[in-house]
Amino acid sequence: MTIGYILGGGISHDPGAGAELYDAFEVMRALYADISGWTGLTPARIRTEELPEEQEARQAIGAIRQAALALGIHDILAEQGIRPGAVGGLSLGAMSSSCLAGSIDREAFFGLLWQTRLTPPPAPDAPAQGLALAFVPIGEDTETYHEPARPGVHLAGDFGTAFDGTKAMLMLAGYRDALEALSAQVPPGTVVILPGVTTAVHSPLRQAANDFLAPYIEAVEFRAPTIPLASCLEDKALTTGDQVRDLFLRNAVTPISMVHLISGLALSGTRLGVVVGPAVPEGVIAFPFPVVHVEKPEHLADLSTAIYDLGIDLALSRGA
Amino acid sequence: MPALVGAPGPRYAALTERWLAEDIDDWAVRVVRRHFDPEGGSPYWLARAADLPFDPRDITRYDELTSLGPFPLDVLREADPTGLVPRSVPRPLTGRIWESGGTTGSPCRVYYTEEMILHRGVWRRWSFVTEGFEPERRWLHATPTGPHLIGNGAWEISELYASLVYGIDMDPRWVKRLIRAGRHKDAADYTDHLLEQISTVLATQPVDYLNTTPALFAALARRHPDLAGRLAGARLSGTQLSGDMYREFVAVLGEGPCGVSYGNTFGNAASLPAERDGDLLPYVPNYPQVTMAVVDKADWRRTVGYGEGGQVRLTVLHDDLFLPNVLERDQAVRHDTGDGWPCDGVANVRPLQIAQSAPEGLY
Repeated sequence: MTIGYILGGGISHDPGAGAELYDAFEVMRALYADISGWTGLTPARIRTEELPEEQEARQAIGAIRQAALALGIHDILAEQGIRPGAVGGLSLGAMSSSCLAGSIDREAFFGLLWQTRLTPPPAPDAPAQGLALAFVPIGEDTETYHEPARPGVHLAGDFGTAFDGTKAMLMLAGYRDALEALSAQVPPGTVVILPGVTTAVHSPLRQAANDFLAPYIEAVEFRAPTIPLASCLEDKALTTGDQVRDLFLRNAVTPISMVHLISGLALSGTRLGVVVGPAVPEGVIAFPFPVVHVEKPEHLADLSTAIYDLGIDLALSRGA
Repeated sequence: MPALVGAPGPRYAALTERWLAEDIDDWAVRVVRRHFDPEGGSPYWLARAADLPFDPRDITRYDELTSLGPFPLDVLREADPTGLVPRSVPRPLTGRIWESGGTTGSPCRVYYTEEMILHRGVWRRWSFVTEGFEPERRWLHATPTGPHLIGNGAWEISELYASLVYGIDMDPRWVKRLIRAGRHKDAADYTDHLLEQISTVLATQPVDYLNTTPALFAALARRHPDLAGRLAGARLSGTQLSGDMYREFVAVLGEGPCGVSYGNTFGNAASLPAERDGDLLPYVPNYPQVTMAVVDKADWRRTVGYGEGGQVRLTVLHDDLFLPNVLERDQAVRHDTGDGWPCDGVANVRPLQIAQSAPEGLY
């Protein structure tokens, strides 16, 4: 019986995320001090200042903010004797979870995230990109929402069936005008374009950014995970350093799958999921195991209660 | 206690058959009219009636109970629980006030008449029969006692199922307090204290069945697999039960029954056989006095479709306790009972999660 940590994708735009935990726990403040030393960003820049307007710098600092929060919460739980027996994440969360699994050093990981600020920007005349979430009624053909049926819109993520069982949840990436056209053709609320997101992540449109970062990823040492690490790109566990590196190399241009991630965690013996940080809304995903979200101090008690109620032995979970 | 206590089994079966044959609309009208009767109604509901823009005695259908709004649980935390009992029940009232878990705050209190105690016990007995527990056996009842109604289960087993009952006490409020305070070591010590008592009884006495919480049974199975595996069956309730736990418990018990139930001090639901190897754990409420709906988390009046998830909405329709539209801190999947039960069931119950951000926050 294992506790599985789930780390969400996307960057954090929220300058207040994790503030209560940061104020309450020295171990979290220490992590931010480390990240500050590795990147040159002040803790305030990481945590609370508005993100820059420029696309790649915004992406880099937002990613560092999100990853720092997840790792900080991990450290708080570890200090209380709670550690994951399996781990996995989506997109950025997949990379952060690789760090928690011991595949990549924290300094190297945050160095990589900071490196992304140097990604060459798209040409000034390049068509605008965007990202959308689609909530497709069960029974409707999801294939009609993206390539090849719909040019300019790519399937970027599969979040599975919503908790209430009524909708399939997809992430779509593509050209902004194509996404807007799709959104206008379907009932309101079916395709929601994410505000402030100007990159078509997890699609071929991010190939140039992916290629830019590849040499830096190749230069980093990756080790075999010390705990089961579920992939979000395929339905498998990552067991070698090369497999983890491969995930980093393909992450930006490959669709992510919450379905694969959940399946991998369940196969690794997860009996209780812990969503680490604010990236996955509560009560939306249909998880096959109970899940507790931890993003505020009061959630620590909720997690402890769930661990007790579900009969999870912390020593055994750690040893998985 | 009612004269029925200690009666032969068929007498209890006749009761459940009679209840299951009740029309829910007729039953709702009966209870509403009793509680809002100007002479014999309950003080609480008569006071509420004065503020209602309609006469609740005009209600003719169960579905119309939503017009009374969600039941405010603070009433059960602060008011005299006898105020919910119709005046037609002779005063002074005698008996027990029972309390909800009280593990996360001030407990709710309700008064149970003898008929309500019997109703609960008869349905529990029904569960024993359908789940495969045999009468005239020996049980260890390792549950909360004191103010907690589950503790009365020892009486239900012994008096309604002709069995011998050993008991140990546990204090759920204390252990949850330790847990919520992050005192994991102290909580583990308390669990050890309980397991020592359980294992002592199981090791020295000819116990057939164990009644306890899923959390404690998991700890027992891990710490003393020999004692857990020796049991002829176990009945579990009081803390959440996942499909994984259920499968593990079934494996421990082998051919013996692993009975589960869902509910609280206000109303209970009995389990139906697990489906899909434990991936679907369905429950049916103690009809017609107890019914449960699975409703939209954002709109408690809207019942979701079968197979869909939502918040559990409990309605209690005892002659002497009327609690409509109690919004539980649980979520579940609406279960279609078909022709097998006169009302909806609930399945895969878990603590309620309300989205703190829009689904768009997925990325």
